[in-house]
Amino acid sequence: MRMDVTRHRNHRIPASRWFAAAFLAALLGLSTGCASVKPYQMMRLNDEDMELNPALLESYEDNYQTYREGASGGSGGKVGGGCGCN
Amino acid sequence: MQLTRRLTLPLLTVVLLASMLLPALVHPVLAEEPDMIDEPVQIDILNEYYRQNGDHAAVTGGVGTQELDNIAPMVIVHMPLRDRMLTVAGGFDLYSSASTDRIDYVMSSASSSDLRGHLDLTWATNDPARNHNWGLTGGWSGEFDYQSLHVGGHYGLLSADRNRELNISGKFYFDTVKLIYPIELRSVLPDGTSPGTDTRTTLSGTISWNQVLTQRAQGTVSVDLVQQSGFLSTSFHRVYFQNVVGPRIERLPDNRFKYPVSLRLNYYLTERVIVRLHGRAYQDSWNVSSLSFTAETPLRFTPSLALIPFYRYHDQQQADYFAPYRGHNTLDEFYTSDWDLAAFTSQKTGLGLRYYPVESLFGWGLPGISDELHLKRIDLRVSNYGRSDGLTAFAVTTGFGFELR
Repeated sequence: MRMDVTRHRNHRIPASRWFAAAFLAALLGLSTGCASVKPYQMMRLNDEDMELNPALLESYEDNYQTYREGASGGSGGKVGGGCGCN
Repeated sequence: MQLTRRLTLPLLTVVLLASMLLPALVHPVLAEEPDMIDEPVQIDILNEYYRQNGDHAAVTGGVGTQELDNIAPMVIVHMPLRDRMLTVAGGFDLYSSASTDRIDYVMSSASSSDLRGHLDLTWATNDPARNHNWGLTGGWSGEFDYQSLHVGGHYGLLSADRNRELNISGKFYFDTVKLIYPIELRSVLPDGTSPGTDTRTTLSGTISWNQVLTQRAQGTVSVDLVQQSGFLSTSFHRVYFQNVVGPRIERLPDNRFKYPVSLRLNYYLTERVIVRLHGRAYQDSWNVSSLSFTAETPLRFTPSLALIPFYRYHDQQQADYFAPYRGHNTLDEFYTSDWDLAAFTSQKTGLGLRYYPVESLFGWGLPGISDELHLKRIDLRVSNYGRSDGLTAFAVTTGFGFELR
C-alpha cells in the first residue's frame, strides 16, 4: 500500500508579506518629518542600552539560531566566514 | 517574472532609503582634522556552552537523536591606532554530536566530534567626530570538512545633525566542502556527482538606515540580500523515500537567494528601564519564509548592574524540498529531510546579567608590558530554546571585558 505521507504544505500567506506591509508603513513613517533632536538633547539616545546594534553577547549567543533555523543568512552569525549550515 | 516579484520589495526599500539620504547629503562633511584619541586596547573574552537534543537528525534521514554539546570560546582584541581601529577576533567551536557519530555507524568514532576554528580581521576608521566611516574585513574559518575564506567592507554616512545614518556593507565568502558520504553510499556516485571536494560561494550585502525619532526613541530598518551558489547540500545527510529501502544523499538546488528585512526600535522608558524591540521577516528562493519577534528590556538597578530579560518568537514555513522521514517520492528532483528547513515555530526565553563598574574591578601587571590589564565588564546570558518539532536547547554565554592601560 502506497504510504500516504502528508507533507506540511503551507498555504498561508507567507509571514514576510504581513511584515512587509508593516515594514513599509514604518519606513514611510521614518522618512516623514521626524523631529530633529539637538546634540545636547541626545543624552538618553546615547545611552549604551539604546545602541541599535545588538550587544556583543547577544550576537554571539544567537549563532546557534543560525544553525538551527533555515531562515538564516545575511547579517549575523559568527566571525570567521561561512559555515556548512544552510 | 517570479524573480522580479521577489526583488520588488528589496528594491523598493533601497529607493526609499536613497530618497531619505538626499537631505543628509546636502550637509557638508566635517573637514577639520580629528584629534589624536588616546584609547586603551580593549580585549573581550567570550565563551558559550550549548547543549541540544531532539529526535529529527538529518544524518539519519530526519529521525534519531540530535544530542549535541558545543563549547565555543572566542577572544576579540580592539587596538586603536590614531584614528583607525584594528580588530582581531579568533576562536573555536569544539562539539560532540550523537547524530554525526552515525555517518559511519561506528559509535564514538572520529565523526562523533569536530573542531572548527575561525579568525577575523577588521581595519576601520575610529573617529566619532567624522560624519563618515569605513572599514575592511577578512577572515577564515575551517573544520575537518569545510574551509571558508571571506572578504568584505562597510561604509557609513552620518547626517550633520546626527539624527540619520546610512550604512552599507558587503561580504564575499568562498567555501570548499569535503564531500563525506554516509558509509553505505560511499561506493555509489549519486546523481553523477563525484567524491572529493566541491565549492560554495556566498555574496551578501546589507543596507541599513538609522533614524532618531524623538529624544527617547530611535530605530533602524535594514535589508539584507544574500546570493548563494555551488554545493548547498550536506553530503552526509540521508534521505529515505516512500517504498524504497535504502537512502540517498540529500540533494538541494545549487542556487539560493535570500532577502531578510529587519526593523529595530529602542525606547528609553525611564532611567532604569529601556525597551528594545526587533522584528525580522525572511523570504528566500527555496520558499523558506519566516517572521521573528524579539523583545528585550534591560532593568538597571544601579548604573553598573542590570538584569536583562528577553523573549524571542520565530515562525518558519518550510522549504519546497523538505519532507519528513520517508515523505519523499523518488521522482522528486530535490529532496531533504533536514528539519532546520521544515515548518515550525520556536521560542527562546532567557535572562542576562551585566556588571559594568565605573572603576575597573581589579588590575594586574603583565610580564614584559608596562600597562596593566583591568577587568571592566562582566556579562552573562542564559537562554532556553525550544522548537515545535521537539528540539530543545540550552545555552550559557559569558563575556569578560578588559582594558590594557
